[in-house]
Amino acid sequence: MCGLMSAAQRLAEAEYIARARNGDDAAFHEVVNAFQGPVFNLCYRMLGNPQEAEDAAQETFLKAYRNLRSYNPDRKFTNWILSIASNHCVDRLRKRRLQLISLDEWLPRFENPAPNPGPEQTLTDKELQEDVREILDRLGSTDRAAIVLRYWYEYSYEEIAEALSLSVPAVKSRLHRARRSLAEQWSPQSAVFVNGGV
Amino acid sequence: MRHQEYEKLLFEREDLSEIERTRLQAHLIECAWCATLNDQWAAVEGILRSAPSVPAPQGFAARFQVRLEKARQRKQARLLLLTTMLTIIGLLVVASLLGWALISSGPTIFSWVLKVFNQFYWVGSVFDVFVDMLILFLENLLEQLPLVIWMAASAAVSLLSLTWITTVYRLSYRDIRRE
Repeated sequence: MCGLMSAAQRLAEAEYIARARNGDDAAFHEVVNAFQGPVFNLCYRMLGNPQEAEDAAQETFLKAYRNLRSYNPDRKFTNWILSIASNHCVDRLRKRRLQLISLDEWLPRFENPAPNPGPEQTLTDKELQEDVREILDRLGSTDRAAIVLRYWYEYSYEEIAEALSLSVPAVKSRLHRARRSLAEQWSPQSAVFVNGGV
Repeated sequence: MRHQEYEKLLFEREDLSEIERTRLQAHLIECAWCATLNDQWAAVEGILRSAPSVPAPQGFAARFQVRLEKARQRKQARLLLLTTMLTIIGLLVVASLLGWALISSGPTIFSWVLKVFNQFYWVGSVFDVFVDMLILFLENLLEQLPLVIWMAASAAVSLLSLTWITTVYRLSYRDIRRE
């Protein structure tokens, strides 16, 4: 879902990633421009709030900047940076749970950061985003990351395992458990979930 | 047991072979429980698949540049503090070593102090006193301190200088990136 790249784009990206690794700040700015969309989307899907998602996405790029030398160019850069983002969001969600603050009290229920769609479109989008958020809120942090990587980034089980430092059977088991839990909680009559969140 | 087997197929539909798909379809016709679960999962999966990617807000990259600059400044401030602390600690160590050497050198320390005060009263000029004190200090040290202490003190001063120069160099050229 997060867009396929042309070969030329990929080549250009590889070039500025290499320049950024050699300390070229302007090239890193290009990296931020190129990957801000996928990184922000992942953080938004994980955290459910645009302000917190932006903060997490910025932290992700900062971590990437600090550790750029440890990036292995044989690996896909998207996978590397999304792995940083998903682990950062998992940590944030764990801390949030530790703080024992209700999401409803703490976060505005829905704010779509997409730029200026029409009013009808906005309503449909809002409903859809609300549904998505409700679905994801029901999952634990790692299961949520696995679902997001699977459905928005079309990651294979192997890629999810690599991103989340899990084994492939563990990813399959987590995805199965998450899907089953979501399906069982879905009420077909009212098109809403029937039980409390996981 | 039978449900479990089909549940696995139901939730991993994209990876099924043609034979598995046919088996699942046949089971869904005869099993109401699995059919319901299938419909419910199809609804949830439909929502997940239809949700578009959310774009980054306007000005994201510019705000990142500001954040990066602040992170750099924080890092440099930390390095500066570290340099200052290292210098102070180093000076204290050297001063303690020299002080201990002077004190432990016996009664001559008193004559050394007396000479310093005498010089202060007789000469009157602060600069001269300072220069004389320094000369006196060095002369006394040469007489009183064993060669080993001199070598140790020189090594400590050299090490401290080297640390200080290295830290200042890193402070000037090192970024927030990890090596």
